Amino acid sequence: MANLLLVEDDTDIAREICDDLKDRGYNLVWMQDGETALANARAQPYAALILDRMLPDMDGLAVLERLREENFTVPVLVLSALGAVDDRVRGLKAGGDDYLTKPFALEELAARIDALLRRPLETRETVLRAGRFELDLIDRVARRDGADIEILPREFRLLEYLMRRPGQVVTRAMLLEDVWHYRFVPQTNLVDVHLGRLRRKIDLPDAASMIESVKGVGFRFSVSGAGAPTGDPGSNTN
Amino acid sequence: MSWAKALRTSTFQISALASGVFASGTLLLFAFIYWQTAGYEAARIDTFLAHESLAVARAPAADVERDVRTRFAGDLHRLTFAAVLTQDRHVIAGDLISYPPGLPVDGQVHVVDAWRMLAGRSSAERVAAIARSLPDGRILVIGRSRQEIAKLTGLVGRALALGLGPAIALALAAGAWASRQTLARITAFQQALDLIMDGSLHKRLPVGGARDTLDILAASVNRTVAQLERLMDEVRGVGDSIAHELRTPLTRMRVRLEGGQRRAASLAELDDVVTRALADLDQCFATVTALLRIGAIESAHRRSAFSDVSLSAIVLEAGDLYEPIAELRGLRFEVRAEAGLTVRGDRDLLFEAVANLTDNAVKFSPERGEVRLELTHSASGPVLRVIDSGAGIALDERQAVLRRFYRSDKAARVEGSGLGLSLVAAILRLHGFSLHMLDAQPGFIIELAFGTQSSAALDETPLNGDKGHWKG
Repeated sequence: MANLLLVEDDTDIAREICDDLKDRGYNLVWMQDGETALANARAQPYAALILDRMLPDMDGLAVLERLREENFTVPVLVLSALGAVDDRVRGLKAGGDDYLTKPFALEELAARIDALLRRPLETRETVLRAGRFELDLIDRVARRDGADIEILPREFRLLEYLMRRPGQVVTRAMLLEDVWHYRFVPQTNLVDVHLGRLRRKIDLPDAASMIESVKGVGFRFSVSGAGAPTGDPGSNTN
Repeated sequence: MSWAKALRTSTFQISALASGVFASGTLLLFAFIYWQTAGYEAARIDTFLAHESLAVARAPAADVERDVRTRFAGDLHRLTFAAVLTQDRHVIAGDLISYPPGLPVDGQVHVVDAWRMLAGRSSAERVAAIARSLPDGRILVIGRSRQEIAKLTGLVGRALALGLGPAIALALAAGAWASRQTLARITAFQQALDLIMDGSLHKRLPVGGARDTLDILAASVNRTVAQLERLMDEVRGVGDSIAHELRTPLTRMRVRLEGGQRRAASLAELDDVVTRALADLDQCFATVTALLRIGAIESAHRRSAFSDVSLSAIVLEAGDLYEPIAELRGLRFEVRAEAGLTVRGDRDLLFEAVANLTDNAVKFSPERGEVRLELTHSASGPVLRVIDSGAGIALDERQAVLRRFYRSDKAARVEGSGLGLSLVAAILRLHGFSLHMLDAQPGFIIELAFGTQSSAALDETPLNGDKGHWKG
């Protein structure tokens, strides 16, 4: 069970976050101010930090910067009510691994924490495989049973991101921000439409989709729709 | 307002200083006049004494005593006197009691103290006198009282006292009065400013007709307050819009939750209610987020971070992003972008603007309608036309849609924060680009002109242009 340190001064928000993440199998330690959190983070081995920016005694980013100066390598998710593009960039520059703007869905937070703890597959293979389906990272093509499937570059990037995180829930915001690098929230369900089209291209007609929808949250790459397994792309999923 | 306060004002201090300078000047002037007059009078006496002594000395020795007795008998004021003395300085004739001590017998005029009989009494006074040896060895002394010069000193002193004192007093009084006037106006300013500070932004500083320094200052402050009032009104308008815009989804949410609480028969039904309430809440957040974003863009000073941005690439990418949605809605979707068109700008923001317009076009076109993105080159720079076959925007609504929150009635059933075009407007304004709305008949065209304007023109042009033509 991974230990997480939550630094958040709002009691209600903190309680909800703690309860939710405990339900998902994490151990939570909750601190309310920057100094205590600093001391605690130095002393205890945490798997990740969830750090609010507006703390009573200092900016959460100051905590983060001091930890990073001390070569503190634990992944940090920054929470903030400041949602401007510049704030996000500043948060990541200060050493944050991810930046989540309030208000957020607890599902979104859980997905982000999950993503921080489970680093994506850093395979040396130049081909990602799922059953009889493969994604060639050099030739930038998808194949099933050796036959090329025509997909667009935008779709290729989505697929690569999902396949590097098999079994892991990925939210729409993560896809928009991390794959397409968009800094705005489109008014239309862009991600769903693009993934819908991608599914029609890569899925077998009668099988379950390789890209599962997770209700109210996002998507998950699943091997079950990939056809009879010939290899296991998800072996490295710690 | 107290006098003591008035005396501390700079106006009074300036008038006090002026009075001081005036007094010193007057003193100097009087001193000069006195010095000149007294000098002239002394010289006149000297010449007179030398002349008279010579005249008496030249007379025959036998006539000298008589001459001394009678020569100045006509001097009613007894200012001039004469005497003849023995060689050992005993008075023989004349109105001296004794030889004035310290008076050399050299035929030159000296100022000394002399004792003489005046009105039957011996008295000493300061005199100018000349002593001269007569040929027979006797000594002739002729002198003249310096009383006149002393009188002159007194006269000058009195003139000073009578003239200068009142003049200074008058200057100080005028200064104090002017200070009180100034102070009264400053106090009026203060009171007006206090009211303004307390929120009465319609208040203005009193401006007199004099066009003096204070009036100029007051007019300047008034213009600032007017601008402040306008901005506050705008903010208040936005605040009202926010309240209105949030009230709708919040009311919906409330009704839903209340209904769910009373009627939901199962956990599944309740779950459904909660899910929909969350969607309403998300819309509220989207509204707030979009509003904050517009605020951030409007107050941004990011022009320094601008770089060369390929418009062609942005338009192609927006087309690429929205093509599947257009397809899903059965629209004919066409993107044409001339290659190699670039502008100075913020790539992310420009993409957001183009994506927003495309989003709108796709959303508002009827099923099986048509949307086209056309990026071309014109004499004044690149031009992007987003053409859709939707209902368009009525002429009288075209300005309004660029403002925060406005959403046309026809769009009421389409999801969205209602802030899309306001956001586009804010982004274009930051860049100094302009937006035009045209009728395509049928359909609607939004045209972005990427001709750069000077930053000065940008700063001065308000958002509310005219007749559906908006310049950033």
